[in-house]
Amino acid sequence: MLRFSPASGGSISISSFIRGPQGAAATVAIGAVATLAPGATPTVANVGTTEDAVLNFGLPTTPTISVGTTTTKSAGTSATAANSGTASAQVYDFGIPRGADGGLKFAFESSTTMAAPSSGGVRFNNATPGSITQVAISATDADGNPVRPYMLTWDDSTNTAKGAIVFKREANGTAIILLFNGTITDNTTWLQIPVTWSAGVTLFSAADPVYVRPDITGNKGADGSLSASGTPTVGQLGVWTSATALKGVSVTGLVKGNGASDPTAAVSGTDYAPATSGSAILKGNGSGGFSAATAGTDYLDKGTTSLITKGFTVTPNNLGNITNFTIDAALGNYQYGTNHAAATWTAPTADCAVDILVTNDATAGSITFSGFTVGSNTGDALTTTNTSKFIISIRRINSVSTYTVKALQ
Amino acid sequence: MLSGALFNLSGEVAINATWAEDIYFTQSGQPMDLTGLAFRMTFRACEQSGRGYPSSVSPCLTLSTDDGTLSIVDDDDGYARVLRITKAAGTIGIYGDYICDLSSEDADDVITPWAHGVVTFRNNPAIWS
Repeated sequence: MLRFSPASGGSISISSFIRGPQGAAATVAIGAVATLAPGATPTVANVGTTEDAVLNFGLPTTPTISVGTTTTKSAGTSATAANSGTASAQVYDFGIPRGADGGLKFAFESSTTMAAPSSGGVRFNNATPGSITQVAISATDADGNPVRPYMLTWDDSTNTAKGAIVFKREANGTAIILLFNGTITDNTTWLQIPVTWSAGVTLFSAADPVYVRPDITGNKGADGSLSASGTPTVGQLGVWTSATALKGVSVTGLVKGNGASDPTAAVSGTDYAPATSGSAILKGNGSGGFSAATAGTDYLDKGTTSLITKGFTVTPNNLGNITNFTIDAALGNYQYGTNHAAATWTAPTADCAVDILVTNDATAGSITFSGFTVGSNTGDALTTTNTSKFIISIRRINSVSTYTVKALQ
Repeated sequence: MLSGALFNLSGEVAINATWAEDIYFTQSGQPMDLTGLAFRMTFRACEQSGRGYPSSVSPCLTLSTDDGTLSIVDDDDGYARVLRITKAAGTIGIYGDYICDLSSEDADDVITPWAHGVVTFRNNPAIWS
């Protein structure tokens, strides 16, 4: 061991110490690890010795976190988040307020008296939205802003329709829309606005925060103008000579167009047929007019003898599978059908002549004639043989009816 | 004082055991920071007459921070304030009295002679054979 002693006076000193042998290295081992509840303070404890430590740990578990429901809350309310799960399995439900509506904020007053509302208040003159005709609104909004000068401009539009005012309830967006066409009355601390109801049927509740937003109509546009020259006078036709110029044209009687030229009076017998008298059927006279047509000559008439010089064709009426029926000339004087089963043919109820072609099929049945005046010597035998065809001619003259069968086989 | 060193030095060192010794420097009661200093401790043989004059300027044994036999280590407070001697057993190689000089040199090549004196090297008497 070394020893130091000062050789001269001074503030420095030296000392020496023998170092002992180095001891064995300490050991540290991990003991038990316990799980603690989420959020608990971690713990550690030495259950060994100072030189050979054994550390027991207590560690909090990490909770699982998931998102539960998300709910839209009323505008102006605070957002919320709540754990609906457990400490170890956390489920967070969120409530998020919707954004506030645009416009000036007022507090609705249930009074219908058109008097000064409270500062920041607004009221209607009727509790039924559809009957609202006046609005009383404070000159200061609910946030304390002096908005009178602004609101006084709402009726500045030179249009008759000044605009609309939208009232929206902050909590749920319920709206009442009122049109305003009149002049706003300035009462200094409040304004009265004449309105007519447009939309919204649910009245707000007292003290409801309501956003008021005007939709103001723009000013009326300048009136259009016409060229001064040739402006039509009373009784004249107006004729456009350009996109903006109009002139008057005097025309008597019927008017006919003349393309790019002015309209002129139409000429009877040239431009139109002259008026005729009586009730006769008219025919063209070949010179721009009409003359009375002659019954029996120019047209068939039921009470006039007519000379027919040409034939005619018909489309026969299809009776289909013939069932019980009354012969009807209104269906056509030539008819045809299938004898598919037994049927009764009843005589026509009006004088007429009708020929009916009957074709038997495999299930043809007997035909019974009913109501005919003459029932004997009616021609060929009427059979039910399959595919056989017959023409049955029916006549009724002066209420006497008969029929004749002609076999086509 | 003949050497001009700040301290007189004496002592005994067992040559059959590891020389492990820590030297502390204090000034006005406060530990001195040894950062940046190089230390050297030389041992020269004493003259036969025993008058205390070295027979040779060449040291028989030198410990230094250069070869690691001396080292500057942190004290318990974490500051480089301990000069540590570590010389393994059997590596000292000298026996008897030797003149010891402890000095340091800083970054500006300023040499400070700290201590001077006679140190005796001998076997530790408490040995088992």
